[in-house]
Amino acid sequence: MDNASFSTTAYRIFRLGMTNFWRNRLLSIATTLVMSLTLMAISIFVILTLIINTTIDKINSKIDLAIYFNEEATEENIQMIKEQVTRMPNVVSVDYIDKEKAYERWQQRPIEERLKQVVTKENNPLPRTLEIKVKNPDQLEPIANYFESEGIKPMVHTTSLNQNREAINRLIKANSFIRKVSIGISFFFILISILIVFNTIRLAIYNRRDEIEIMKLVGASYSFIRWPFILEGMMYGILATIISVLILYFGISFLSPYLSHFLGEIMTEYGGSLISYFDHKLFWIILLQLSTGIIIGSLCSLAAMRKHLQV
Amino acid sequence: MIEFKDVNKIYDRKIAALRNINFKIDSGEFVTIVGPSGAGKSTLVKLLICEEKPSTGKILVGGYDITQLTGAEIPYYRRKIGFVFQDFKLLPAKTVFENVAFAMEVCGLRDSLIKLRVPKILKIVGLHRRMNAMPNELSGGEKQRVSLARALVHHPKLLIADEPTGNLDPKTAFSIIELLVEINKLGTIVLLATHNRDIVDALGRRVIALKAGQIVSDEEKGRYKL
Repeated sequence: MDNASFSTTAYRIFRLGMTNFWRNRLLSIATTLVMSLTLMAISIFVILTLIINTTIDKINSKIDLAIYFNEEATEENIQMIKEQVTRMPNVVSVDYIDKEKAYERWQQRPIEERLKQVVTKENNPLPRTLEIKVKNPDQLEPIANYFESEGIKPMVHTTSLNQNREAINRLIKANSFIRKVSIGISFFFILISILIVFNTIRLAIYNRRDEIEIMKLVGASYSFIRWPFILEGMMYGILATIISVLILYFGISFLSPYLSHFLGEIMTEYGGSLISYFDHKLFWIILLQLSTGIIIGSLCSLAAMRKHLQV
Repeated sequence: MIEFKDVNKIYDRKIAALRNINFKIDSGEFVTIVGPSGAGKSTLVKLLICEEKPSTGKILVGGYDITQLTGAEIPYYRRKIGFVFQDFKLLPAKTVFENVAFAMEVCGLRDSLIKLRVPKILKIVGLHRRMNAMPNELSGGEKQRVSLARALVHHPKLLIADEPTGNLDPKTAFSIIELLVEINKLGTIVLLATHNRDIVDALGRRVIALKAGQIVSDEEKGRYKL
């Protein structure tokens, strides 16, 4: 059999592709960096969206309704209210968090020490709370209305329903805004990447036009002529992924301590920090970037070849 | 072996590059296609290597109508043909050996076969001692020999030479033609397209003369009469 093995042919194609990359190395580096920016923009958008969605879910899942009492409310009144609420149809359970329990919880929070020291056993401003879990979170209104009633309202400082609603609404608006901006920025970078990769491959085809002509004349199969350019396009995606993941990793490592007191509670499942969240999601981030980079790179190569290679 | 049947090639419905071309070439023949510039020699070569398709007519090579070949089949047809051109078409960054080996690599042949065959072919063209030379270190005649060696790697049944001596001095030109004659003696059909009168007359072989896209003469022991 005169034919070379698959691995030999694959190696030859790979070598031709890498030769293209190396011959125009300055342009190749520029193309790779632009694609890195694109992948970073997309990844940051995805991470932000995931964090916001996690935050919303966290808020929703914690407790359905929390009632914070004024300092003036007596223990007897709070116990009476607890019994009345427990008997309501939609209620599953009612937990009473007194000042001592509230203090213990505060000390366990992943916050800075100086903040923890603001609350002491002797000077404890934390409110007493009723935490109410319901069967159907969409039907909290009757319970909320009970706490708005004339006899009860004076004892209540605030309810989480309003706070949660407000927080969730703000988050949803922020999410929507971030999504629009991120899509816009990502789209812009993707467009730039497409133009640059297309142009780089076009230049590679031009620079290798003599070789390509000879390859056609001596009977090289069209896939042998095409594949080095497709590999070159894919190489931009792969290298861009490596650069982008490294920059994101070191960037997030640097920022993580500064963001921990904002994100600590949200990231508790992931170790309480942004960097540990990133570590947990690393596989998916790499997969997202790699697939996006390879798809952009190879599709642009195919488009450039269709226009300029005539095979 | 090769047959052109009622072949016409018309560009943009007005310019007829070839008109009513009919001829046959048998195995082992040495045929010279002559004609002034614009006569249609290069167009005929392009049709034969499937770079273009005729507007009408058939071209049979080895019994197969090459005008019906699909895009995927054309590379495999071209492996059965060797080409030599006026401008040599060597890759400047590759040695003599690598330039010839390239034609085998891109067709998926194994390294051991390449190492075996390339030196033998370079010996046929007289360049076995210059295997590691770069193209810029070669004379015009040597470059054309490398080009010829590359054309022979697949042991083609047909060798097409389109103005192979155009850039060479007369002495070197004749040495290349002698090489083509030797290759022909080994059984390969040689189709030489040229407008060099001296070469045509010296060869004394079959001459097909083209003028304005038409065959004006086809003589067994022809001379340059245009």
